[in-house]
Amino acid sequence: NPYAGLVSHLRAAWLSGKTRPLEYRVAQLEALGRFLDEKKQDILEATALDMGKPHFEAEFSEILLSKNELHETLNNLSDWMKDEYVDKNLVTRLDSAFIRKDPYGVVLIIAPWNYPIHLILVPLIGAIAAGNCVLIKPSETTMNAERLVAEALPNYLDKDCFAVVTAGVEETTRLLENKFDYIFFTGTSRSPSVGRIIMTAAAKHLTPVTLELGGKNPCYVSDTCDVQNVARRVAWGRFFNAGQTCVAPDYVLCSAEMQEKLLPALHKVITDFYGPNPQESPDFGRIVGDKQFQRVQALLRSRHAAIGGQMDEKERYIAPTVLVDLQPSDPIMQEEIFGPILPIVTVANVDEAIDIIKGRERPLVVYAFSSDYKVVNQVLERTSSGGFCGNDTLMHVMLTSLPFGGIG
Amino acid sequence: MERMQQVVGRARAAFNSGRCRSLEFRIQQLKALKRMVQEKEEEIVAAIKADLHKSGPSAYGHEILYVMQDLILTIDKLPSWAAPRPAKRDLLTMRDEAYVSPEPLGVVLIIGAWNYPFLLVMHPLIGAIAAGNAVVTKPSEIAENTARVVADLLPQYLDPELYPVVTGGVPETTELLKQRFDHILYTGNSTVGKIVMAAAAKHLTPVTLELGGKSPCYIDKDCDLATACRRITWGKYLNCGQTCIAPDYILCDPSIQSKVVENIKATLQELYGEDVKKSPDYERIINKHHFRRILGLLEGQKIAHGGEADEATCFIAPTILTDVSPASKVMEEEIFGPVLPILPVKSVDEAIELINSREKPLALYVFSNNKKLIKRVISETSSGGVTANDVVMHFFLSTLPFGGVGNSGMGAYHGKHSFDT
Repeated sequence: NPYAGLVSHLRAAWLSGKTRPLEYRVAQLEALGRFLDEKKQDILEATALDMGKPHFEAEFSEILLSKNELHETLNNLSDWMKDEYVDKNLVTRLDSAFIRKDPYGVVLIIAPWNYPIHLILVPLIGAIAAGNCVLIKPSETTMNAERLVAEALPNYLDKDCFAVVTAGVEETTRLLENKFDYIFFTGTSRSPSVGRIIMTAAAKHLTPVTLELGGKNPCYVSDTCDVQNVARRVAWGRFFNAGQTCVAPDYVLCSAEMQEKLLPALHKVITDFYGPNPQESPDFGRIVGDKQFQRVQALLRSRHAAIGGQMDEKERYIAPTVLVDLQPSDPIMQEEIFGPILPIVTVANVDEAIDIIKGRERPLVVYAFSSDYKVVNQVLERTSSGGFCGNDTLMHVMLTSLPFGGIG
Repeated sequence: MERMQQVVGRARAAFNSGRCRSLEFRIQQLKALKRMVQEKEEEIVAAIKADLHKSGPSAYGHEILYVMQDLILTIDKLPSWAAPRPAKRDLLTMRDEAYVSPEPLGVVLIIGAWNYPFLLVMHPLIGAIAAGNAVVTKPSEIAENTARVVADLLPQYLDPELYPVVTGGVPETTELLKQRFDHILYTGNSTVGKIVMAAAAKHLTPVTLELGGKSPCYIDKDCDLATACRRITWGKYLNCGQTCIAPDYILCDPSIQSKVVENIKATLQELYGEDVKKSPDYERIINKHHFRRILGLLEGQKIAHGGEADEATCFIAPTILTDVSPASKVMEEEIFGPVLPILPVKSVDEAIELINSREKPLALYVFSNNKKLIKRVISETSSGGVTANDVVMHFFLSTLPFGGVGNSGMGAYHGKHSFDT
């Protein structure tokens, strides 16, 4: 067991009680803030090298959102740590009854490649705030980000209590043989098998887990809406990070008439965002690796693109693409796309849309656009998903007061 | 077995029909459960008595009373629990509506345990129904009579498609676990807990595992020893020691060990009379397997009190062991029987060290007049729950989430926490 030493080192640090006092946690969190500030350039460069991430996107999603989370935590931590006193009954009237927030111990965080810094930092902030020791396993797919985290991050944190380990698939399997007190895993739903593998490994030690997976997030667009607005928001959500976002709208459901209106609107928006040739735009990303590129490329085959469709294998560039007149049975509708392709499936009405959504696995998020509030509410009430956003995309992820996660 | 697939499939179809979503429907089902408990109290109590040799008043007090309380609370609070919970907004979202909307998971599986066979099936069931799920209930086959009563009664009062009862042992449960559920709540031991979680992992099904462990009980030299021992005696020998949160073993200074024994003996006399075997209030071990297991733990131990046993009736007298070593067999696994080992420790530091060297327990008890000491024990140890200067009581306060940590489990329930789970 190659990681046994590392894990027991962290466990010994945990047992020493070092990570428990508020002051200690605050100091570590503040150090994370300094990491984000001092290493900002390095983060922007690493993500640009790894996946052509535009600087603006990286600054926003990797740094800004992480800092937001950090501030929220630092501002509220002492309150969060307080014992929560509960209502008592007759028998306990004279007693003191409260819920004590106790750290678990040694936490393992496994991060994915699409937001390689953010998706380490945000769970890490929580784990440190709660008083745990943490072992971080960044994604091996984004090699520059992985190296940055492995080399720089430990210098900001207490090396006794926090460690970074680099590992590929096989090593991660060995890593999971060790006992952790909590495992936080983020990965896409195209590999629900990985989520299952993690949970099965956790079951051997009765380790609780948080699994942040993915899904095909439907986006219903009703006939009554501001088409320009909808096009802007859907395009932004879909093409951000070249579509490699777990909460991106994966496919659109709308009537044939709406499809006719959406197409030119989307075309205009894409040109507004990325210019006439997105490949030259500094604001449009790339697919992270060859394997992923080939997967997405295969999804596009045999479909004629209404917008976009151009590809450049050398750069792993896929143009912002819109496909029309899809059927729920088409190949591209069978897995989470995780690329800059937006299929539109036409439906007769909102009921048909809801039926299609309900006939599939529950997604991470459901989107519904309509100026008629009742329609939005209908979709909300009749579908089940991790989260929901009406009349915008991605926004619910940024509100730290909303719990973010999936279901099923 | 096709039967399992059919039962679960029917429950899922019933859930998808949407009829259990309305609050009116859920409350109607909960009220039916309430009627069931009221109308069939005798039958239920008789079944528990037959399974555990429990007296009528005990069965009522341990199981029925608490189920009724939970039903009343849930029926009353459900509308407020189910309402959307507004979330704080920030600058970007100031003009938007942001809230958390509780929604049912779908089809929930509840696997009950044999020690409080009615309570441990009903309690989770109430929460699952309240949250709008379809529920498959699998009572423990080891408590045969109660399982039969649950299987008979539930379909008489509840929607039989939405809330089926499945009976059976290991093979049936294994088959059941192959099906896909949206949440599984299991009460039992850690070994099976791992099996349940591994089965759930195949479907990415979240689980609540209410397991057990060795719940330590530290008695400080500075405490009201008579009261402490009264309470410990009650909690330990309740249900013949077959309680997941019973104080499993005692840690105390060697100088008070004999006084602890004396006090416990006195309380035992009070609770069960001269001849424990004849007392209607003293239960029996659930079956021969556990009887033999527990008796085996007494080997090589100093028996300060008790030790008598009768296999025919699965009777084991309330037993106290002294000067027990942490390495002995009785300290290896959860006792779940009327055997109370006392381990002498020279200080609270030693006690804390011993506790921390072991798996995290479901409950932890500390008796002391010194508030600072109590605070210290709580802060420096980890357990599912704690009661200070009493035992078991934290179970009864429904506003406290009840569950374990580490080997003693994951997740929690009771009251609103059941609904949230």
